[in-house]
Amino acid sequence: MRPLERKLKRGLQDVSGIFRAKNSAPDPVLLSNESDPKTVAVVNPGNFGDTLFLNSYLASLTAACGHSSAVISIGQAKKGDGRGSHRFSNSRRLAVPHVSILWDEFEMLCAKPLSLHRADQPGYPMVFVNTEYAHSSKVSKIAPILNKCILAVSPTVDSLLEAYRFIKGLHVYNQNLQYYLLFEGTTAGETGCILFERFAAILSRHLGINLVWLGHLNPLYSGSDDPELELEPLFHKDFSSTESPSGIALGQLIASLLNEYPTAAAS
Amino acid sequence: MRTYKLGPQLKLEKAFPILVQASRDLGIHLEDQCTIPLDGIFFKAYQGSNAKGLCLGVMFETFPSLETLHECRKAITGIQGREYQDIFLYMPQTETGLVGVSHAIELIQGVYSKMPKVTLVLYNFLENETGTAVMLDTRSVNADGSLAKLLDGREPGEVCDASLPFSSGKPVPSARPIRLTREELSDFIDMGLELRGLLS
Repeated sequence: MRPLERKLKRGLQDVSGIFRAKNSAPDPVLLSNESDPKTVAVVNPGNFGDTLFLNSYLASLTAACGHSSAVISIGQAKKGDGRGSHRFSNSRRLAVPHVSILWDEFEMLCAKPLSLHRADQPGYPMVFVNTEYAHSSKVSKIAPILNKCILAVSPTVDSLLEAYRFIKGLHVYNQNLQYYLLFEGTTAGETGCILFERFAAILSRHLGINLVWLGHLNPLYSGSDDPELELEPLFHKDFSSTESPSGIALGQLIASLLNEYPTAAAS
Repeated sequence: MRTYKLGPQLKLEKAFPILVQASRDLGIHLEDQCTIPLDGIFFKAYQGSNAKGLCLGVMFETFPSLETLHECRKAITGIQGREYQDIFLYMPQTETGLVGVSHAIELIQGVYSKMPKVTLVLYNFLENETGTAVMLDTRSVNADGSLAKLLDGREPGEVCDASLPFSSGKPVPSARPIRLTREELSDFIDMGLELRGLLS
């Protein structure tokens, strides 16, 4: 065998799905399956207003791609919060289950995740975690259980600067996290592409992080399949990430709560 | 004296006495003032004079974004027929947020690197409303009183973080600063300049 033939024949399409032709069949090896649960956070650094909407919207799009998804909100106790139907919000309009738990419940779950982890208990393969990402103390608790972080930002330098700070803070607590970027609002065109390339280069140079492009998010789009978004990279198997028992338990917790209160979940 | 009221002024009016006090500490005699709208962000500017000659002061009511810093530099550069001996930028220290004070200074110095007369004054009206300004760049200071004590022993141009003596001890909401290195900030400044070139 000549030396040239011993080299790996690796093209751009093997590196990322964005270089793959639209009509080519997806590589089944790279796709995650139902036994490979992922915890995902959608954040908007610098403007942590309605992350529930962002998480629910992305979860509904993920569900539309055939990956059953759910949203779990972890937050402070509010008046009227508690067991039962109060746990379920009205995110049903986005066709994904949404469960709310309190911080102390989450901490209990993290302390004893295996108590909920049963082999016969199916969970949700994609769990979107919505919480107060603006508070560093909360981030330190959430970060270790996350597998993927989607940054939804405006196509401006200031937004990317905020995103960089957020990633740098998160990186301290979880160095296996896979990051994705999407631009909010109307298509930024060539400027958006340049910004993404520059930002990805800065992340790679200073933090050693590879950023994945997901496209543009148009919140005004009401369909189930946003044409500006490229969600396929989200389902690729990331061999560097490890499964968190707490993350698996979250998926199972949502499933068990929905089974426990089927009326509230279906109403 | 001219005053233009263009939009919500509450925070700015609350902060303005601090500017006046700080300006006096800097030996500046105020001559003219106005409020300037810039991309929806209002900042107050004054023109005055000190021992060196004519000077310009610009006060931001919130900590400016990178884009606003560029716009402000453009506005200052565009003022024709005036030779300012000193330019003072006043920014609220407590709103530097995750940037951190020293890195905010690096960011501003990066944007204003070709304007050596610029002095940054971080004020702190959320924690201390008595009108105390925190001087961080001693380049063109001819101050006395408490300001002089803070600056004692510093070389002109040296950046000193003098914020601690004025802290009330209350935790700032975004208490965990994510510090960026000089190289990281430099990359973002380059990105901003490149984007401005693309859009212009």
